[in-house]
Amino acid sequence: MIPMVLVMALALLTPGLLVGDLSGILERGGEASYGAEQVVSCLTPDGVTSAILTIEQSGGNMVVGSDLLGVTSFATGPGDLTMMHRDGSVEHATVIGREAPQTVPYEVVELGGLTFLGREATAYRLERAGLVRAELVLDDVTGVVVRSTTYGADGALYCIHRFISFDPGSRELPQVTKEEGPTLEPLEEASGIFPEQIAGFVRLDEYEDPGGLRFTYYSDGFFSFAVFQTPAMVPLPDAVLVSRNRGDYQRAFTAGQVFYTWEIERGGMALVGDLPPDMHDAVLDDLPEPERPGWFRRLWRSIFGATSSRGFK
Amino acid sequence: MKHLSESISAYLDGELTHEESRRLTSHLATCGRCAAELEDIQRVRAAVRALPLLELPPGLVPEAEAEVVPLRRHRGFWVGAAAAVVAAVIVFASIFTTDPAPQLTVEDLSSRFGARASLDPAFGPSKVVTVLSPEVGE
Repeated sequence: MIPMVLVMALALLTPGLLVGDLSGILERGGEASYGAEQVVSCLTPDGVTSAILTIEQSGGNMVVGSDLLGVTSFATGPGDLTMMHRDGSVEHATVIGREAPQTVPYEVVELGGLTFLGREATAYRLERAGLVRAELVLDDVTGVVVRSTTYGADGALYCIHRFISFDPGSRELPQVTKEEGPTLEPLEEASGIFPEQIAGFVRLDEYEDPGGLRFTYYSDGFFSFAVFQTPAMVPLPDAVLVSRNRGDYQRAFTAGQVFYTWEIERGGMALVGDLPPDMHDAVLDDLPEPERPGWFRRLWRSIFGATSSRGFK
Repeated sequence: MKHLSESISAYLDGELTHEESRRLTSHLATCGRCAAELEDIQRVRAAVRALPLLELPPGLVPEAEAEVVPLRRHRGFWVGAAAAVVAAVIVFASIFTTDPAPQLTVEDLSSRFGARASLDPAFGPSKVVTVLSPEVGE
């Protein structure tokens, strides 16, 4: 009798079918060709952020049109991102990735079929440490994520990414003018500056570019962020000052991303990622704490500017 | 002997009558203590007069018309010292520092994060990077 009660309780607590591989589910959509319009809306501690994006994907490359100020569109392919600004300037980065998360702390629960934008789709729920962190709706034919909802630890909504139109089929992507630049390769050996794990996120590749920028990429298989060590603190437009017990941080949200920057003795640190707000404290607590540089260093920077971060530790 | 201490300052200030001055002079000739006191006061006055006059900050004493005597020697020393330090720092920096790194922007960070994130198995339309927007804090 008791085992039967347990089975019934488990069935009630976990409705749906447990399916294994998160990356296997998500990878299929990367091969699809389609055009779409996507609405993004996030409820952040600093207010609501929103955006409407036009997306075109083909052959593993994606061109995204944005309504965001200053940027008309950006193109991304595996390891590549180009931002084109209204003033004609281009921001471009190419990286090679070596590492992928070996273990993903998510349970994927299939919630069942539904119709989305007139097409057959399947809903999944992602749970991490017993908490529902995301619900995804994938188009059955293409495997594209047509709706994604992410949650905080208390079950509060964080972000919704939702297609409002979806047009699968082969297409030619708009031409994107790319700027030649160095390809960043992962360091053979980690510098030891960045922790191996932060709040359940695993350090993957670490990079150092010629401009003295050092960064590493963390992922838990779904959410991800990059931590940067910079020669000087990077200014954040429209930032909010966040005072924590470890010091002061600048914070800004976009539709789907959070940015933190702070000052350390030898320069600046920055974090960019798609973490829900409840994860921020745990992640920041494992990173170097804010420090006020000494007066001589401040004087030096004010006269000569920030110089290379080589040797910073 | 009655000492004339009170008359000495008045004597030095020229405030005594002719008769009072003559009486004090006669007294000083025979009184070592008063003569010594006269010498002390003269020395202090000379030292005070030798001190430089400082320019009062404007508005501190509006009714006073302070005489402006620039502290050429002192100010010149400190200005020279400061200039020497600055020059030394510039020379040192030009010899030993590399070219300043260009100022990084939040887009530099976004582009690198976005490029690396695009390699993730989880990358898809819900993971595209969005740059800082005016809607923040709405």
